Amino acid sequence: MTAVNRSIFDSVFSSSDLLFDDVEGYLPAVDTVAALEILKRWMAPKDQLYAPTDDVLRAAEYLRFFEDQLMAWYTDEFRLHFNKYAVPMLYVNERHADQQENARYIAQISNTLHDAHKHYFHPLTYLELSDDITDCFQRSFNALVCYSLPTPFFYRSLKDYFRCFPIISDYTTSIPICEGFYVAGLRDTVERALAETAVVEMEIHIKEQYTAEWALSVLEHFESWLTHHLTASLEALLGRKSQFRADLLAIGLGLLGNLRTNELFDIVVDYPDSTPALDDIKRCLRTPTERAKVVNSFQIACVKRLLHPGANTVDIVVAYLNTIRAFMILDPRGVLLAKISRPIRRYLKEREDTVGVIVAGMLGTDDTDLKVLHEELSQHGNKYAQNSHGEVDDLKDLNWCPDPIDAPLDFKHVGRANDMIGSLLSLYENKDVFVREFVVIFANRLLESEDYNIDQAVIHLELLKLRFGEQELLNLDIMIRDIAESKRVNSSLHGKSMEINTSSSSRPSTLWGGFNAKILSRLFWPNFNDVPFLIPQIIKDQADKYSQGFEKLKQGRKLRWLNHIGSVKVELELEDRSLDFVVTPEQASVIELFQHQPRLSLLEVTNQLQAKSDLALRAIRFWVSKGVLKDHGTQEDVFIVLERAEEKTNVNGGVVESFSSAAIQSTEEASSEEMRVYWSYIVGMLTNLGSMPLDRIQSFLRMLVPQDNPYTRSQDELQLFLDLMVEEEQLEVSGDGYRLKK
Amino acid sequence: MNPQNNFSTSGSNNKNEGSQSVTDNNSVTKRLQSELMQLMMSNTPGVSAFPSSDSNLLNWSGTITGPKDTVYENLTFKISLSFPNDYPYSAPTIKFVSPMWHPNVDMSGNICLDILKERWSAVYNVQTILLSLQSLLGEPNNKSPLNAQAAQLWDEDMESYKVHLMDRYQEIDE
Repeated sequence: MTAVNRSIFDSVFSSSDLLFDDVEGYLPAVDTVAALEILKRWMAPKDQLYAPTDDVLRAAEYLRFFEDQLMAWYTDEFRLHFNKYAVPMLYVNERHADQQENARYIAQISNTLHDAHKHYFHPLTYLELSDDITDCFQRSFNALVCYSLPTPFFYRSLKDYFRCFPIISDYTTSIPICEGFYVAGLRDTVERALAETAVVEMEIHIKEQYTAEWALSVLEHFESWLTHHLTASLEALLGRKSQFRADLLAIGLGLLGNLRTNELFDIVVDYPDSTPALDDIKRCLRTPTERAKVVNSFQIACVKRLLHPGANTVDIVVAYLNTIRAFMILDPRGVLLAKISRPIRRYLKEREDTVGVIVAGMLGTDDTDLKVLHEELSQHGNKYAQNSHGEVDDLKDLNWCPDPIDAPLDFKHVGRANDMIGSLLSLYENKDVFVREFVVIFANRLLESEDYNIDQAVIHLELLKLRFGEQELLNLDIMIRDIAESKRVNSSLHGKSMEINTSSSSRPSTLWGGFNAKILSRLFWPNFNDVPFLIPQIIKDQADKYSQGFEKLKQGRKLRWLNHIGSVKVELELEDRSLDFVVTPEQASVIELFQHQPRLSLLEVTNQLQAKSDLALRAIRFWVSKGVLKDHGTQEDVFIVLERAEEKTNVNGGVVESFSSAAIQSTEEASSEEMRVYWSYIVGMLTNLGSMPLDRIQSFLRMLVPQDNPYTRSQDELQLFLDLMVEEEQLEVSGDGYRLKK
Repeated sequence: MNPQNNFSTSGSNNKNEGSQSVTDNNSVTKRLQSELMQLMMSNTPGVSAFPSSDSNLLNWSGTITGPKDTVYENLTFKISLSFPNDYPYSAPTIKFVSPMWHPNVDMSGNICLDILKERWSAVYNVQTILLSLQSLLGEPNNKSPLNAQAAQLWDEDMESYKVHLMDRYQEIDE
């Protein structure tokens, strides 16, 4: 009964010295010593675990008030025991290269610690100790384990172990092992190792499962994997619920974002198939750092894979268009796009054929990936053209969001992501470069058409007007009208000639039905390169007649024939066959010469045509390839008519050699010719006014060149030209300007 | 979308700004512009001129290189040309900007040349003026000198004329 009383005293007055003295006085000293002996003998660590005898329990009752001293003794006791028996089990000589060995080692440590704890704690369970004392034991034991364990080595081994038994697949094996560590107070260490392992496993999972998987959003899958696999396994291993899922998700998104960022270039190339991946990236991008990284890595990829001489311009333009659309998904405000597109735009601008590619795409002439431009042109028309400079936020836009934090100060909204044509047109300062290209293309097409058909051209022109405005495309209007007008004039002339023929038989030769001309207003067409050669006399007669008729019809206007542009239907009657061809005028003229003489040398052809020899030779080669002429064989540069077809020749009639591309000056040729005019201005300017910066030269030219043929170059074009002159040592760069080289 | 609709709207309000400002100006600008064009295209050796600013065509700067076989050979002089509002019905005012030593040019660069004064005619143009000035260098009119000393030395002591000239001469420095 006394014990119970004491226990009450203890709980109420344990801090009172007076009472304690009183208690000490209450117990006979001999009993205390004896009880302590009994207790110590029972508590001392042994191989087996024994349940306490009644003596022991009584002794414990007795010594209840000496638990502090008892613990102090016990701590020393089990520490000695631990050092002697357990510590050797914790050490190995070196790190285990072998996974199995390592696993065994980890298991051994776990077992050892677990057993040690079990043994040492066993006696305490029978003594009704206060919580403080139990905690104290636990602390002492943990300290002992920490002190004895080779911590860094153990930590590494533990991680190796988890690598071998992954959390996802093999967590059941690891559960008892982890529990052993938890008991020994190594929870922190284990959790750290588990966290690191979890991240590694997440990374592996992301890399293996999601690399190059762009057609579907992987975020859903990732989150469910995280919840049902990783988190579930981790919770089982940790033995408790935890809040780490959110942290893991954040890390996982970062990893996924990282993966996608590195893949971004390919994703963009794959657009629009890769749209889900872009949505994923958008969710993964949260911090400005990550956004900056996207910009960075994409730019590097661009430079490496796109912006080099080996890449096709069409591909670059397509990639640029994809980039625009892809980045508008990533960042609807267009800040990232603005940053990324800069180098691409700069590079495109440097390419010579960019304009041509864009224009061809818009007109849908060739069947490239740039067809989208044509589709856009025909579908949207002027939807964007109206407020091409409207940068004000759309107040009605419910999806409006503010500019992101990393937007540069001078950021302007792109806003119109779908306006691909607009983005491309804005590559250049003004639209003139495009207009000039259109003029050339339209000229080629209109001249190629045989039947004055302008329908297609009109449709294209109407679409272009929506985009470029009426004024800029005036030339094209006039060109098309020229062709339409030509059709009327042509039929009218033919009609007249028929009349004359029927009324007066004194003039037997009339205009041939097949002789048709297109009458061009010279000023509005591109320059035509002069290719001199003589056309056959009979054709010339027709042309003269045509001219006469025209001059009668249109008083005060004259025709100048462009002999080298056009097409001729030729029917050749040879001994064994007759052939039909549609050929160029020079080819027709050449074959006409052979009509009179079946054998001609190149020199003779050249002389009779009064043409350059390469022109004549090209035409002869054409006929040779058609099996109409052939090399004489013995005499060099002499050709004869092949009256009887030879075996090897393959004759396909009706093929026009591609429209002589040299006939019309390309925009580059024309522009460099114009630049020469401006060059004299520039020389005058620099002679009299000293060195001048680019922008002043530009504004001088704008103001001073007469308006009837106005200066329309952009500053960039001027710079290209001036830099060319620097290269040619005509100019030199001084300070911020150019000056004449002396 | 009806393309027809759009024709009238987009076309009409899109006047070319450049041509606007020029047509507003009087005919002087046009005349000077075409003279400039002519001058630029003809590329006359030894003389050159160009408007000093892109906003005002009435003031030009020019350069004249001395004619061959004269004391002025290989020397280059800067001049300023200032055109009146009723050009070409009145003569432009022309001065040497570079220091000059010449019987018909005073110390401030004013020039005494009949075609720039009483004998001006609207058929003259920048190019002819420049050529006249160039030939004036080699053939001064010593009857009506602005620089009496120069006139005197020209006739009497060519050596010391040359010394005076080179004393005054400053190479054009940009």
